[in-house]
Amino acid sequence: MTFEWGTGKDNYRAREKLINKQFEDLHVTIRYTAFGTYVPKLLASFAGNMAPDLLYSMTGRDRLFISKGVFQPLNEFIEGPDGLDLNDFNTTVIREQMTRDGKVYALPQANNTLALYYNKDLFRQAGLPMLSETEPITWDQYRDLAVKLTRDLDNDGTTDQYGCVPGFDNVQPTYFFFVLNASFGGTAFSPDGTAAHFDSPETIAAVTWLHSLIYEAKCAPSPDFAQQMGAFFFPANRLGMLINGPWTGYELNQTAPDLEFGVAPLPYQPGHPRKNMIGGTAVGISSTAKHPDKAWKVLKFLVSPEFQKLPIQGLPGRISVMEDPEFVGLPYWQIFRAEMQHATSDFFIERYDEITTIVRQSGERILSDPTAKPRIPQMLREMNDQINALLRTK
Amino acid sequence: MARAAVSAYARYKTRSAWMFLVVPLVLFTVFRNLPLLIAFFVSLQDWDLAGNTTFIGFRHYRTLWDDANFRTALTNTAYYVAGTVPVGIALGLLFALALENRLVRMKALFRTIYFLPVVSSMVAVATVWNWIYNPVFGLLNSVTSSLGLGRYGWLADPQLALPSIMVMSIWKNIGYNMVIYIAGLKAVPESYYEAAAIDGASRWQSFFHITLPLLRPVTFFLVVMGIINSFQVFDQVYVMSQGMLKDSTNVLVFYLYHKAFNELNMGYASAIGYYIFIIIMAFTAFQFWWEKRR
Repeated sequence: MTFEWGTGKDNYRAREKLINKQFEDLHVTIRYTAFGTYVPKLLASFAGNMAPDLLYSMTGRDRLFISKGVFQPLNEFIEGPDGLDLNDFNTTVIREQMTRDGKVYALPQANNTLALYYNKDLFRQAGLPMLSETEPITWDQYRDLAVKLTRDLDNDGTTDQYGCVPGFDNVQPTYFFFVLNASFGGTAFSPDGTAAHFDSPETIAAVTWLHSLIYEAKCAPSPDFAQQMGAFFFPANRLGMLINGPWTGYELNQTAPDLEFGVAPLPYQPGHPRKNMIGGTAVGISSTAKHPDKAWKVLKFLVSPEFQKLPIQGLPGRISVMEDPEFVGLPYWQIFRAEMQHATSDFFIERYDEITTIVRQSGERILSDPTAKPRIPQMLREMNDQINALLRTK
Repeated sequence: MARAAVSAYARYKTRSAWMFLVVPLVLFTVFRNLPLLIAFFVSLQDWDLAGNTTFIGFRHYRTLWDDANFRTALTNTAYYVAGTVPVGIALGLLFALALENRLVRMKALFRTIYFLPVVSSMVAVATVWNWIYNPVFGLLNSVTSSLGLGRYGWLADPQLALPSIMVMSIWKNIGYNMVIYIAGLKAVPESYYEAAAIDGASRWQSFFHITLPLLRPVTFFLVVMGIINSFQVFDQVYVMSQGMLKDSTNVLVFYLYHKAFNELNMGYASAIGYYIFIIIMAFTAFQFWWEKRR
């Protein structure tokens, strides 16, 4: 039996051993694919009749995989004698991302939200107090902090240390844009997911605010610049704040153990409810699996409390695990968990991957142009038209 | 009798030739020609890798001409080819001439040093240059900053991004052009230079009237190969622009990759592949025609 694994390369062999220890009558081989190429490689394996029996899905991809027919429904197994109680999972995630026409296609392995990471050393150097772990700051307070953290270290007239980044890059992912938009009161898509709403006054306000970070407050680099700085930007003490998921804390602990960082709730916009996103990894049975009953046994183990207590790069998918006093999660995982109550996944529609590309392209065009401010409504209208044209195609 | 023997011998030779040819021919057909043919059929369909296919004829080929990103990619690729091929060849010749100079010692060592980037992986080289170009931690900005010239977003600035990648590509390929030119220079008979010197020709005259004309087949080869390779530029763009689709560094093969593996639009990507094939074929045919005409 094969299991396509697309997250956390460092310990998948150990996981493979652990899975195989559980079952005497079957052998599971994990095929690891890097996160960035997971989707095309997985779909190519279906095209080449080499599809796995079990597979991972990740943030924003569940609906895509369901529409491509890579999963098979799990209802028969969930409701069967060897079934599972779905109430121990985040049922909103299952309903919004993993269910279609009443059929459940995957179950959450880990959940993710976004939070604000900050560099404690840089905060101390700028004379700033540490952030609260429970009370969020506003987006304007976030900008003020970013301005104070921005510095020209060698007095050569160019900025060497930034307060924050605008997103659309590998430092701060594009998820951030969708959450910021929601935070400013914007709605990405119509409820049926057939029309985009990125030309709304709320989205214009959110993007204008992002643009002002770079060219008015001058506390953030352009997305291109941040992209080139790379993932080491934050651990190298050249970036004060960063918005990302719980996996960032895991990676920082592995790659920069000496870095002193804190995590705070995601900022909010006064006058609007707090917003966040909920994504994560899920496991499903391939539509081509030859032995779905055996695959179900393995899937059940993969989403079991025992397996979810292992170090993972997100929050456990099981509520009982998160509530277990003996569970030791990622640093600050409770902050990410608290964010779940403000989280939505309504922008992870079927064509999220393709839409993200358009959003990144347009976002880069707007935020790389210092003179773009008066044209932001027009540029967002063009982006919206492009996304709507995409949504009209099959 | 003798005729029958010759005929039997000819048949034996033909059979032997076929026996030697059959394996590479099968391999070439299965792994080269067949995928080309399949790619053409894929280009006539809407296929998303997951099995859903619809035959749409030549629609992708027509749509491509209205695709602004494709036109940008075509322009950027043409700019890349025009920038890297002539400069790379000129520098290759310059380095070859310098190394063939009688006064230069330790030629083998220098040849190895200049050839080292050619045998290095493009991904590894591009990663190193990514660091060199890094706007805050990079070597290049440390130099420009210490000279009072300021810091630049070499790969972040849309005006500088593609030229920066071109500089790296030229640097990586100089060694290859140089080695081919060195081989060409060694084939020029010394007696030609001696005769020219007796006739009172200066070094420049010898270079322009003997060296350059006799290196023409070598230059022709390097131009043809350079254009073919440059039209297919991908690795360095992928690594140095971090896989993002940017107007400034969007080149043809990168756009093909993006359509195929980010947007899962295999039919469209195959159509781009065929356009690249036609463009390269046209350029190469033109060069051969031009060379023959001269």
